[in-house]
Amino acid sequence: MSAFNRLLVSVLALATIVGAAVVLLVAVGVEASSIASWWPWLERRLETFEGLDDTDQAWTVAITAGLIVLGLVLLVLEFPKPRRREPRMTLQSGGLGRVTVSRSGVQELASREASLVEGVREFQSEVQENRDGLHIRGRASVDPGANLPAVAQQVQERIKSAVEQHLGVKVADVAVDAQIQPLTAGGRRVR
Amino acid sequence: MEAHGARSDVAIARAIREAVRRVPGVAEIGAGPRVVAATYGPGERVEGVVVRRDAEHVDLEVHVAAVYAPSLSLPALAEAVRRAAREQAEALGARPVRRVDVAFDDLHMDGGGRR
Repeated sequence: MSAFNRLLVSVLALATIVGAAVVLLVAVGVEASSIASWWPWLERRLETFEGLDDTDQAWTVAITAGLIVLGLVLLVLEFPKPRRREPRMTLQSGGLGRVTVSRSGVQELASREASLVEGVREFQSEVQENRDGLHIRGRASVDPGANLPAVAQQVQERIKSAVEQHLGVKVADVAVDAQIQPLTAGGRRVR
Repeated sequence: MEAHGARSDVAIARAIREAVRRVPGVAEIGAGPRVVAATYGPGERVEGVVVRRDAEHVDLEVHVAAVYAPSLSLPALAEAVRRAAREQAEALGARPVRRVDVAFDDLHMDGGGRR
């Protein structure tokens, strides 16, 4: 939706909320003259909601409350949501500029390397950047016949070597939870 | 020194985008996964390249996706991207270029073979 359309919908939503709120106030007993004495035309329109019988008052309250909720929902939907910046790892920083890589890019690289180890069926990783280098923590699901400690060690070595080679940054630690079960279940850690 | 060239920021960003796209190892120029990095002009937006100027300098920011290859080195690729962006900007009169930030937003894993 274009910016103009968003603005138009927001203004209409705001007008609906204000209009419904004014009618609601009059319906529940506030005098029209105290709200719109400065605009006789509006005051006369609002007077039609004064002194309603119980049934009409209930309907008026329900409809205006519904319109207020609808207006609020439209306003919230039209309000631009702040987009969060994706976490990034700094590869180089100096006078010539910074070189960064998205955390998801590092995770993809780690997952690719892990998947190349024989016996690994699935791999998921999380990457954190500390002063001493990258800390990579991963979970691997391996084939039932595989040697868990051996596979986990190969995954660790492969990820550390690949990330350091491709990104040019130190990997301080790779922790792998290897398990036979699919990744939804718990695992056994090999450091 | 001349910090303001004859070309608009959008024209410079467009030229940088084309130059960086030709750098071997670059899969595409992107706007960034969440926050849109772009240079804005009248009726036009060049995504993936940000041109910032102050009184004396021009700073650039380029967002790229890299193609995975066994020999991939992101620092080396960043240097090639930086060189291409700087040369293109300076050729269009945006000088002196002070910083070129290179952001790798993605790695395209289908670009390289298994090791």
